[in-house]
Amino acid sequence: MITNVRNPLRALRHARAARRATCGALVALAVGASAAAAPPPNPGSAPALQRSVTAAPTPAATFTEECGTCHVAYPARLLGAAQWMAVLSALDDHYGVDATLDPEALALVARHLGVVGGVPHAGAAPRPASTRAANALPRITTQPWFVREHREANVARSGHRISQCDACHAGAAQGSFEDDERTAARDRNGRHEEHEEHEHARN
Amino acid sequence: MRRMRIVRIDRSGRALAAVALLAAAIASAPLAHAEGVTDLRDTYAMQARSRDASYVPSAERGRRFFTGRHGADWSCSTCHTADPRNDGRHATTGRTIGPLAPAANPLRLTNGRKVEKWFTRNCRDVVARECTPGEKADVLAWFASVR
Repeated sequence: MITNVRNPLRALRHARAARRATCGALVALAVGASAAAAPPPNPGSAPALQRSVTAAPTPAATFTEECGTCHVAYPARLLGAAQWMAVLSALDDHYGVDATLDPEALALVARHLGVVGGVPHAGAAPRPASTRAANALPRITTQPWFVREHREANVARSGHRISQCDACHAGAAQGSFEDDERTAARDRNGRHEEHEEHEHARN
Repeated sequence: MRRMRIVRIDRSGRALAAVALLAAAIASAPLAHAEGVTDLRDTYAMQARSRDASYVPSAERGRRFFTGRHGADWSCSTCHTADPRNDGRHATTGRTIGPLAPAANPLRLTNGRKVEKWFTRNCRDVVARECTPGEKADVLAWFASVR
């Protein structure tokens, strides 16, 4: 399911903030918002490389197996359906590497990402990965909301690529990005929990 | 487990249950014993022999193929390292890749479909074509030989 919001992370935070309020209308809104921003179902946390492909081929399990082996199984809500369609239409040159899927797996992955109406078959001749120029596929990391969210993050110093969400966000593969630097800092000195309790007390 | 589930679902119709049981038994037969690296090597070697009757898998040829660059910048070992007992690292995503040698990673090379999928994808990236059955058998022979 794709939520067409400008900033999926902000939507998630708004949903959380709204959930804290006990006012009836806001609670109803929060239920809707949190459902819309809900992470995709996660079939398990075992390393993707060690999971058998003979598991029941649900859309979510197929997505995690086929996409989450090489990179974080990015939550579907981080791009729109048209953008995912563009990505799936060019799996033979997937940001520089071949990531072609058999038609069965492609259909399940497309369903998981909210792409409807089928994906054109990628049939380009193979080329060495290292000779490929960067193509114009949509990137989560260049979306305006993403750039805004990471303005203060010193990714270069972390030694990881900015696409490695799970290097900083431990819950990334489960669709949770709440453990950002600020949250983590609050957790460390115990003020985060305290803060939440005060809010509950106020309400 | 699979059989039990089917029996429970079809409890009402015995004939249907019997058919389902039979189907489940047939479907799960190839999975009853996991494919090993030597089974997969032999399957590819058999395919190679249909093109060249004198073909015999060679671990040394497999090692050279795996670590060679094939006219471009990447080799298989760019991501997997030149020692299949080591963890590798994906050249574009940075994700850790488990060792390929079954001696270091017993879960490796136990699923023929998965092995074929990765040969297909990765050979296009490294060799700019699909690998031949002989090349695959050689590489698997090398993985199998590593202790």
